[in-house]
Amino acid sequence: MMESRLSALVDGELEHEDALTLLASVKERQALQDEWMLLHLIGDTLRQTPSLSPDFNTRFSAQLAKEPTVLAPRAICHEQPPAENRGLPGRWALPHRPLIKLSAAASVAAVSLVAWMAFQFNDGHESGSRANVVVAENSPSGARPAANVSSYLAAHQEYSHVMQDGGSYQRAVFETSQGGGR
Amino acid sequence: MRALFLAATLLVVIPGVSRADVAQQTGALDWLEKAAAAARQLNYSGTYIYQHGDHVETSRIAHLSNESGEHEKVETLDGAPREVIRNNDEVLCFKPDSNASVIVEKRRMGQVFPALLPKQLGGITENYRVQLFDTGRAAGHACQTIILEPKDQYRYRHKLWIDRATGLLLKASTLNEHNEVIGQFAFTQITIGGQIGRDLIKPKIAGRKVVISSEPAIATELQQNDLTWVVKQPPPGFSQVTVMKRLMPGKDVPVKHLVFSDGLATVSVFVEPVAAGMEPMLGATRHGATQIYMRTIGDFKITVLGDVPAITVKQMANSVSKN
Repeated sequence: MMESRLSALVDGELEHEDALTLLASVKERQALQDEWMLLHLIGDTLRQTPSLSPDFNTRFSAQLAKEPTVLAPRAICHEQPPAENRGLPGRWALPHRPLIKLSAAASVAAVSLVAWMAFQFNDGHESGSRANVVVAENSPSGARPAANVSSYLAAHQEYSHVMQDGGSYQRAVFETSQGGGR
Repeated sequence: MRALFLAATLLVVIPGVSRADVAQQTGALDWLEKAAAAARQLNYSGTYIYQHGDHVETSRIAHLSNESGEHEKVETLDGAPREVIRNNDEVLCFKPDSNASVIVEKRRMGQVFPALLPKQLGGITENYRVQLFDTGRAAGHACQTIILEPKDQYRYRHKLWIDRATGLLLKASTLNEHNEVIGQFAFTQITIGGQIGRDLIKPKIAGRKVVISSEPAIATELQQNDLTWVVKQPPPGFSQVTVMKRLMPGKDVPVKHLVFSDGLATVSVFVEPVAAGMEPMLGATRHGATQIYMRTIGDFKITVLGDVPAITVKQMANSVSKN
């Protein structure tokens, strides 16, 4: 429930008041912060924009400490049109559903906000709770011994129709050494 | 007149080219085209099983087709949790690791069930006879069944169950030369059409850390004119689709990976130097419906695998040579 509202926020689909309320709860809950970070990562990856460097949070926090500007959502607060102009066409007509747009164009601001929240949250709390972003230096985690067929199956699978889980590959290795006659 | 008589004789004697057969093939081909398009153009969500050898895997799929293209999520329901999110040609794989992290892999992946049929059916009609079979049922839907009968011994027979109402492929079996099912996909439940909520096509796997593993480090597509290693005479109907260099777990040097296809079945050829002090495994083996054949050429190891009969991978391996 919370996750789907968060996702709506990332996509710029929440009303102003709802967004502020949700941001307040994000600040308080680590799980939501992680989810928030993940949603942005996915968005960035899908848009093929570069990911944050591994030490982004650290560097940002350090810089923020030197120069304590408050990056509050209030900064993108909307203005209501004067009452007498409401419903008028033309240049006086302002959007009826002002949104906090945090995706795409505003992604830099959004990411800064995440880092800011992580910084705020970690200040005075245990350090392990920060959402970390790691760019893997190497290929997938499961580096396995050379003499098995699982890696070939995985590579082949990219071009065939089969989606199998890692467990199958493990079993495949076992089966092959049993049945391979060696 | 004499030519006409000859033609008439041929029609009677050789059932393979009878007019009825040609008409039937055309009808069957319409179903195939319908199935190839439906898997890409329809909205659907459901659960399917993939059975191969004595393994059964269950996955859930949600597929959304809208003005921005195809969006899809496939998640495994048994074994290791894994979510594959596809946005058109972009595929991201999410999986948790032992440290409560989420590993996000950007990768390429062939079309998955029910999108088993390629957009271009030329390869299939060249290598298989497409035949209307009978009517049947799959996942509670009335289906038209189609048989893809191989024209030679280098590929398997396939049976397809296509939803009569929408054209969506609901079940697909691969059968060997003894007509035994060696692998099959089947929806156990499916909803076709209607709205697919955004929630259904977003990743759910969460974790404390996010590890992004980048595909370019794993495989690099090579120019087609890289001809250090070639397959001189691939089995009939198979042609090379791509060639790449890839890093593989536990190997110090990149492995060359050549991919062949007959329009439906895929065969991979891997070439790599034999690691020092490592005695390579040789000969034929298999994993589920995947046949594997390994041999050496000098100091190089050749590994061929594919969802094809054993003879096909063996012939492919024996036809590899260094230029």
